[in-house]
Amino acid sequence: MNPKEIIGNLGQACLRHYGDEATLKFFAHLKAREFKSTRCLSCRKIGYPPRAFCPFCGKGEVEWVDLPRSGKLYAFSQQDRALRFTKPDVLGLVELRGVGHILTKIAAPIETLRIGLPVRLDFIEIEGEIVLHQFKQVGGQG
Amino acid sequence: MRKAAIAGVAMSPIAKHFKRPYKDEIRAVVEAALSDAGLALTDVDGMVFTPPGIAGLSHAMHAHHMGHLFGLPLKTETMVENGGATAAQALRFGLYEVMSKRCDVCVVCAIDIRLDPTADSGMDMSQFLTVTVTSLFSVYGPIDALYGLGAPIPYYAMSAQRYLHETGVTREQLSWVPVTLRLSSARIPEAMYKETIGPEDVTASPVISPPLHLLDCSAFASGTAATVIVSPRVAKELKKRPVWVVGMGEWHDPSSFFSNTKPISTFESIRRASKEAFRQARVAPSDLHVAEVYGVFSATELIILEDLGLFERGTAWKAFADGSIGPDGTGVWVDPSGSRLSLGHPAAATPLMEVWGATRALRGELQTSRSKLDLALVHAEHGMLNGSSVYILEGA
Ligand SMILES: [Zn+2]
Repeated sequence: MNPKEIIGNLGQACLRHYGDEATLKFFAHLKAREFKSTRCLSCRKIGYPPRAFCPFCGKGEVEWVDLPRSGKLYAFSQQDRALRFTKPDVLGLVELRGVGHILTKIAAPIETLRIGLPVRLDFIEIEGEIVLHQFKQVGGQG
Repeated sequence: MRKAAIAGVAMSPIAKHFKRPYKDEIRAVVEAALSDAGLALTDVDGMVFTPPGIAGLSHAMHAHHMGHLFGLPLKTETMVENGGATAAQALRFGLYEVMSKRCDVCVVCAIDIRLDPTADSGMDMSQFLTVTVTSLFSVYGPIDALYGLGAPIPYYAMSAQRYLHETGVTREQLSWVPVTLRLSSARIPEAMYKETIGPEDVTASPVISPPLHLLDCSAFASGTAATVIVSPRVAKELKKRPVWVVGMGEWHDPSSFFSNTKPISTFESIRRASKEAFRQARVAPSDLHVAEVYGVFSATELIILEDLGLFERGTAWKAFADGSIGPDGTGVWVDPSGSRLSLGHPAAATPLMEVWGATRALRGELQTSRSKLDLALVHAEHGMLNGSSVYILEGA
């Protein structure tokens, strides 16, 4: 088995083992090219990552809502020893209005990035089964 | 509750790999800590352990096997785990066992083991990846882990980027952190890195995750340390002067690594945990002579020292540049143990190496031109500083 295959198979198994139902649903939405999280029916705050209850007020009723598909780059870096993506593997935090900053993959060379850069949502399919969110520069290719 | 004292400390040499099986390392370090305290194995009535490697092979019932290894009947035999704060929380368990009068001599022993496919593990690459990937999912949670995070360096790198961006501290100023921490590690035989370096060496070293270079990072390593906690009755009979635990604090933000809504360059966990500890000890940050902090990256070191209230935000780098935090400096002595960056970083065991540094500094057992040191702080964290543990130690 090659390393990518091992990581791919384990990724599926680990998602099922370590993910709760809300996490599994989040990835099911991504697979359908939907970018959603949960919003509290009481205090109306959006939680990220999604949860089956409201982490802000503790109430148990939430609804799934679309997250903003554009935001601003809050921070970014890159890892060389990437386990999933080939290097250079740029990771970043994207600030989404009303949500906060979320960890994602940034599909752009690190040299072209700066804090505050406008970015937009994109999807990346891996191993044929899992779809992740990533962000691209507004006006960038693709 | 009665008081509890630290009577003995020991740590192994920190290296990429242990030279012998980990159980032999644990036996040696526990015996060394007891000997440092002037106590025998048969005096021990409680033992608290950490898992032998938080990102490696499974170690179910480790505490049980340790009781067997030492051949000791025990009133307390347990294992505690919470990432980088693991050993700090194991210490708290041990302290409570003594403070609540259940135990008179409680040994806390922490260890971490670096696993890799080429050295002593006997694993091939596919076995290694299986163990590593599963443990990374367990550590980072499924959402972040799916992005293929290896070491947590990108988190700390983004925190460093925001810290520089928000405070105006420059990349060049940051380089003084690893440089000055070497002054302490140069005097610690157990340390991994003792050679003197200059600021230009830091930025000349390979970029790991921008803005962090290799010399800005702690090296994940294998190592073990033990702390002997005793009751006032036992402390009175010992030759060495005890070090008293006079304050404890702990606080956890409900997030996984980064909070999605809070800053990533300053941390509530540090402020709240230290506030609790300072209040309990009835001291202020300016009273401290020694601070051992869990600065696993250069910028993290500055962030922690500033959030502890030892320096104004954006100014701690100056105390590194002028050497005042060093072994012969005049300010608070930071990381007499040799620091995370230069001692080497067995993550789950590191907090007890910090206790080792604080205790030996308070006892006057480390090489320094400083006069008597009375008060020390030990800080540890887990996740991306979203949880912190703080202790205040006082020399007798
Ligand atoms: Zn709510």
